[in-house]
Amino acid sequence: MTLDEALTYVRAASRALELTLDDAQACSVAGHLVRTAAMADILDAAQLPLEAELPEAFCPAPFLELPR
Amino acid sequence: MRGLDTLVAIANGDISAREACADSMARIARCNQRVNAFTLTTRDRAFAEADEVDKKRARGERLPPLAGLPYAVKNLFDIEGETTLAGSKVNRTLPAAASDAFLVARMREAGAVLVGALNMDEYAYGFTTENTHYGTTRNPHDLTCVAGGSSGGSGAAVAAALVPVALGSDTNGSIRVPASLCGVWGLKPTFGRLSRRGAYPFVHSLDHVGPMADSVGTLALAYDALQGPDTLDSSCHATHAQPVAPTADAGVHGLRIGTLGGYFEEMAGPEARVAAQLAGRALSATGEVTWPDAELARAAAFIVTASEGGQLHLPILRSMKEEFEPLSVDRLIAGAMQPVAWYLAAQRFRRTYRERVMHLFKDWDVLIAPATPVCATEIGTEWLDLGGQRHPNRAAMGLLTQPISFAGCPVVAAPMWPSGPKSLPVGVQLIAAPWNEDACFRAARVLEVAGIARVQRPEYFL
Repeated sequence: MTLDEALTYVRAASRALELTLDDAQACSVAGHLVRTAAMADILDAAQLPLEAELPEAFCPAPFLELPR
Repeated sequence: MRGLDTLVAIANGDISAREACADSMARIARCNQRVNAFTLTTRDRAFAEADEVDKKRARGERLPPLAGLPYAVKNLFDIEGETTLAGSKVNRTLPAAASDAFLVARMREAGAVLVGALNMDEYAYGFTTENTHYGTTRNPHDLTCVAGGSSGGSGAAVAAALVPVALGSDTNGSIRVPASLCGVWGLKPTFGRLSRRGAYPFVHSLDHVGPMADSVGTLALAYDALQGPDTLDSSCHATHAQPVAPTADAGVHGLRIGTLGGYFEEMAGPEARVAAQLAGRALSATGEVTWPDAELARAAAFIVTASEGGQLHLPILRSMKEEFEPLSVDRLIAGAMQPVAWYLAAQRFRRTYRERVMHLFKDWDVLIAPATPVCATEIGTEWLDLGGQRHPNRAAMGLLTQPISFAGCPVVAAPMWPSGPKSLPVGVQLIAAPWNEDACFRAARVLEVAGIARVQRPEYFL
């Protein structure tokens, strides 16, 4: 992702998230996103197996033994 | 007086808890201005807690394990009656905490005396404690340098001997980095070991809490006091305490110890490499070990952090972004905007990564790696050259800690002095498999007894 592409993305995302940014801040945010995109590329290249699930983020309430 | 000496002196009646508290308060009054570690002192509460200990002793009651020991907490822990700042200006408008954080309550039960709250990077997003709202915390060993972060106030307060113990939090290295740069002991326990209830969150998937201290013994006693299940915190997975103090002196006989190479060498500067070598030699490390997917794990940790951190603060960013820390607000915003595909890939990777890391511990019990790539850098440093590459300094300080915490492994950070006693410290990580903190402590204690790793009081603060 180039800085220009990131800037276009940031402007669209700021509208979607209702987060107003001036030009200077949008540029700075885009710069951060470009650096993060490089990290995302490394992960993308790792090609995760289909069965790689998300780690546990949610547990239901404790299992309840119902009286018979 | 060191933490363990203070405990013995109080237990023996050589000094009262009130005297120990007054001594800590006097040091804070005298020295804090230089380091800017404290954002709050809790004088009335401290003396009340100290008096409780002294009354217990006067009544002949058995004293709890940390009776009279002064300590302080990173200002993201709830303290009853105080507003939890989490290093921010925005939080000043929040109501005061109705009760203590779980760990603060545990410390109180153990007899410790809370003397105040400590500076940090805003919302724990940083590795340098350069805080625009409350000022930069300076390194007690060189006041022109950073103390590390985000628990920089905790590291500096222990290093300057203002308190023998402090609590911090570690999402990507925020206990281990300041421990390394300030030359104190730090513990990042297994993910889910200690309750986070009442600690202001940053990244729910990665946040850890733990102690920093002036000796292995003090660190172990504090950690043991903090342990225990908390049914009200769904992120606390420990069902019972597993004390480490009783076995800390067992030595490393029988432990298979290795030193991490590859990524952990490439991303370390000369001093950090020497520190890891010294530790490896002292612990009779038998081989060089390759940690799986370290670079990928660092990337994934970075993405998860930015995404969750950004999303957490999004509602306030919408209305008050001008009130945020200028050094990190744009990173937070960028995180909030990250494509969900990046975040999900990072989280899915974490599952396979954990399995690969666990496989490594079939052959090893303790692994050694530098805690930070370099010693403390000058305040305001923007870039760091490592392995021929230019890295943003404030993010690069976590290069060596992020892959380890992403797997949830426990780590004791040991303070090393690779360039001699007058130089700056740099820490090494003593890493074990999840729930095996005792192995980290056994290795740490061997380094301490050998005099290889130690807390050294800076000349300024003698």
